[in-house]
Amino acid sequence: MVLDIRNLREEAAPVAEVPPSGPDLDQLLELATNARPGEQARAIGQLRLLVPSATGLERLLEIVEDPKDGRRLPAIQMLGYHRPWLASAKAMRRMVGLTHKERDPDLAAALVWTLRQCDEAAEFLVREERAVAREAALGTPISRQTLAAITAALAAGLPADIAAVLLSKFRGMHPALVRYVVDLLFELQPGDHLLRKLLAGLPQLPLFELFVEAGQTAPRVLAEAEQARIWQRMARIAAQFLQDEPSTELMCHLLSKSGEDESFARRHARFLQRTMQRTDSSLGADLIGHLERLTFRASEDKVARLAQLLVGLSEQLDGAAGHRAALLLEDWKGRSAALKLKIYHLEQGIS
Amino acid sequence: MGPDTYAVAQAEQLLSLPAPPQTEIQRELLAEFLRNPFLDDDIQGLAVRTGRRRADLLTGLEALVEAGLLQDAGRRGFMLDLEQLDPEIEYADKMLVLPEVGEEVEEAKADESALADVLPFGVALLRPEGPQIMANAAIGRLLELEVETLDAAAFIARTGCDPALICAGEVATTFPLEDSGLEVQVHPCQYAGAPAVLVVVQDQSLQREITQVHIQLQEELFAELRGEVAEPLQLIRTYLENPDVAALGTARAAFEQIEMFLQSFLLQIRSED
Repeated sequence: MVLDIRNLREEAAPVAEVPPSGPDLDQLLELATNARPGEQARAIGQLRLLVPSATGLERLLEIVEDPKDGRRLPAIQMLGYHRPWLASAKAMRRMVGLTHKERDPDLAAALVWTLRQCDEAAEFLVREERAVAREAALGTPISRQTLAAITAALAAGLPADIAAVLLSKFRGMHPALVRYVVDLLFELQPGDHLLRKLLAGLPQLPLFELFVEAGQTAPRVLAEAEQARIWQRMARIAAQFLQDEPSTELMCHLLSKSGEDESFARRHARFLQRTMQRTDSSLGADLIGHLERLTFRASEDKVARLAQLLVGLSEQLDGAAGHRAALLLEDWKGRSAALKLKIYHLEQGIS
Repeated sequence: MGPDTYAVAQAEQLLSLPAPPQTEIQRELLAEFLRNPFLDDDIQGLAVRTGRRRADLLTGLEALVEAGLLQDAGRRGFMLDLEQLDPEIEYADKMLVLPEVGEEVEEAKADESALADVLPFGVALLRPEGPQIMANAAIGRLLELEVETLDAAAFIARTGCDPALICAGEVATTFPLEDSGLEVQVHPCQYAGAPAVLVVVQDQSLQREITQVHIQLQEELFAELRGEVAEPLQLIRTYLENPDVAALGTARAAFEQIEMFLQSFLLQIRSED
């Protein structure tokens, strides 16, 4: 015989407390738009916490699509804060379509904000409304899909502050994309000044490899003389910029390669010399440290090659960095009589 | 209140801010968060958004978090701290005065820009490290540069004068620009608490031409004075020193020559009779 305990279970089951019903999405948006400051703050706080369901997202989109609805801005901002809709191509198309249609600059900028870090944001870089173009520049990621739109917008002449936002993103670009940007610039053929500005924003190492290491010749067959001329112009501007304002990363690469590879050092001797002469003295301490590491137990040949560069560099340095450079040269001189003579000649400008 | 003023209006209503007046960076950061209370950028995003360096923002962000205006948003992001606000407290006396982003500031900028563009000379304000703060259309025209691209590097390339050196030396300089008739003045100054250089470019070609004409006229007059006055006076002096030997006729002719010369300049004093 089995004891029937079903009644006991029912009795023991805790009574679930029904949470007090709070304001719904529509009410919160209404409060966020029109209520008194304190209520607005609370409403926005709740909207941040409220993760909308599929129905909620649909409701938000409906509000955004209704031009007469006064709650559009907080609805857009909420869509920008909670973005599960990014996974839906249909919702994405809808948002992009809405952004294209929106004429109010603040609402359009907020819509572009919802598309941040999506390739679609690049479509709005050339919008006439400054706020929209700025938000697009802030939100456009650097990718193979967006670079064409970015370079075209820069070549078309964006306001300086918006262009600066895009150029600042260039610095973090993946080296593999540099070649693609150069190809785009090759097609666009911007003026010298703009070209210099755009190239200056790119990572220097791939630029060096593309324009200087490749011997200033186009790595592909340039059948047309005009194309060859354009490529040479780009190469000249890039090389000039690299010489004028070399980054620490480029300098360290040049020093390492020069030490390791004699033919590299010989091939780029002139470039290296000029780069050393124009190195920003603020980079001096870093470079001296790099040279110390490179020449630790290094061969005499390697030290001799690097000594040529250090002598040029030490002329640019003063203060602690200059003193450290002089000490390093003295240290190298102590390694052998031949090295001492070689460095002495370099210092006297004899060789 | 139209929908376009939502953000600023909301910012004012939403967040009467319990903080003493903030620095420019804090104000700028806060303005971004107030414009969009859902913003949750990290420091890198904020640096790009405000166009400032990360290091500069760090202190401002810390101060805003400490003041309870911003809070951690996870993933190194920051967001507006809405819970700290007490709607019952009047913060009017401590209210952070936010610029009317859409209207007054833009209007003032437009006015400044319009004023700068009607100036009859070129003027630009540059940071010694390079960026342009402002430049009017005239300076672009005179220096034959694009105004938007005029920065310290472009200025050095055009004139050979380095604004950084002027700032370091704290001494103004003035120099003519080649044969273009331009005069360039570079003054070190402070703008928004940081060193800057004020560049004034004036077209002096007309003035230079007038000076040249003036010099030429003066030289011609001196040459005439030598031939028409100085030399005849010498003849008269010779006669007066030795009237017995020197010829009176020559002295009289010399006198007449001077008189004719003065007449040609209407300088002869009429005799009383």
